[in-house]
Amino acid sequence: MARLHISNKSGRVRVNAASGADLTVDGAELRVDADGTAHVKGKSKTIDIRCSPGTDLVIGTASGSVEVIGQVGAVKVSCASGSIEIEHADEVDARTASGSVKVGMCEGECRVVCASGSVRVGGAGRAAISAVSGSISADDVGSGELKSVSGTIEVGANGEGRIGVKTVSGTVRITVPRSTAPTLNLKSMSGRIRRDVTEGGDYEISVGTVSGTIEVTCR
Amino acid sequence: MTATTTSGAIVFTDIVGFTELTDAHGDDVALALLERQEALVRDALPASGRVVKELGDGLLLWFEDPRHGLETCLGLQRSFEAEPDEPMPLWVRMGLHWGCPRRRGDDIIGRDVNLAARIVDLAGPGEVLCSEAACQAIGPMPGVEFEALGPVIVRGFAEPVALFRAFEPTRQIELQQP
Repeated sequence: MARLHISNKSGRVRVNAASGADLTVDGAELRVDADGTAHVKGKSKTIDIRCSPGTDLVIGTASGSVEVIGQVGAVKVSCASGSIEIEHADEVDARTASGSVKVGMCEGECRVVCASGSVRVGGAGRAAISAVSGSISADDVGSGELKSVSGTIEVGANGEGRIGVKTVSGTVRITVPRSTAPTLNLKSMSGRIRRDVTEGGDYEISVGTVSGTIEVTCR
Repeated sequence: MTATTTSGAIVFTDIVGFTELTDAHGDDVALALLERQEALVRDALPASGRVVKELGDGLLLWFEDPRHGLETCLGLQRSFEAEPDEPMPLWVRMGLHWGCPRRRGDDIIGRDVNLAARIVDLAGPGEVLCSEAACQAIGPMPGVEFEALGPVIVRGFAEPVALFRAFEPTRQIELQQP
């Protein structure tokens, strides 16, 4: 599997994984190690890269945004202040201090650390997402742990595994497939709790919040 | 004053969302949270470790032995996780770097301290992130794995820094189970 390490100080990074594409780089230097790992190092310009699908990516920027188009392998992205957008990956580790994070589909673990921006995940085998004040929205989640201090957390559980949510003051909304019967462990010190599902032992949904409201409903 | 150089592990801790918690729930709740963190840290410190200084909602810790540093950080994360979430959850992130800072009285200063402070900025609640220098100084540890996060651009540093997430696989499995 091809590996690509990309760093850029302040410019935008755009990676397009397209079928049949040779590795091409615009806006930065390209160096390839003996083991096949490609290194792209930019300074402040926008970097545009084309690579083959399934490539593993490691991307670091200080303030530029990152966009990954197409299906790639494991992606690790860190930005001090930029936003991150990944269309489809096998695994994701995305970290940004102030930008937002958007992941279309992650087949395996989707780990996101975000301070003030919002997080949106279209689907994930497993979600490990934390935000401080931004909202979290994750659909089609197999299992996961989600944390936010004050942002709203919305989870669409697909019923495959445990969902754990912790928040201080944010509202928590979880939907489950109508055909499933989860075990609910819901706790809010002062917020309202609404449970409108058939309870059983198929999987666990555990929510803890200090003052936020909790809703678990069917879809 | 002549500053001496000393090698060891530098750890920064930071309570996640402390500003928001203080704003929403007041100073008394914030103070209680700080005291919970401080009590747990002081209980966990080995003889080779010390609190260098308090930094608002964070702490600067120093360990002569980097392995003791990582063991303490991972043990503290277990303790924080076991703490009740009421009245407020104690979500702490940590950054660990091994280096040779200058001593200035009881304080430590220099590039390595600055780098450790930047590393914690990229950690999430419950995480311990380590620099490559820290991982090399620590070496293999039973029950602990390091996941490479790749070269990361760190504000104020000219070259990207290789970062690793230190974790205990058995603890991750426990957290994922009911």
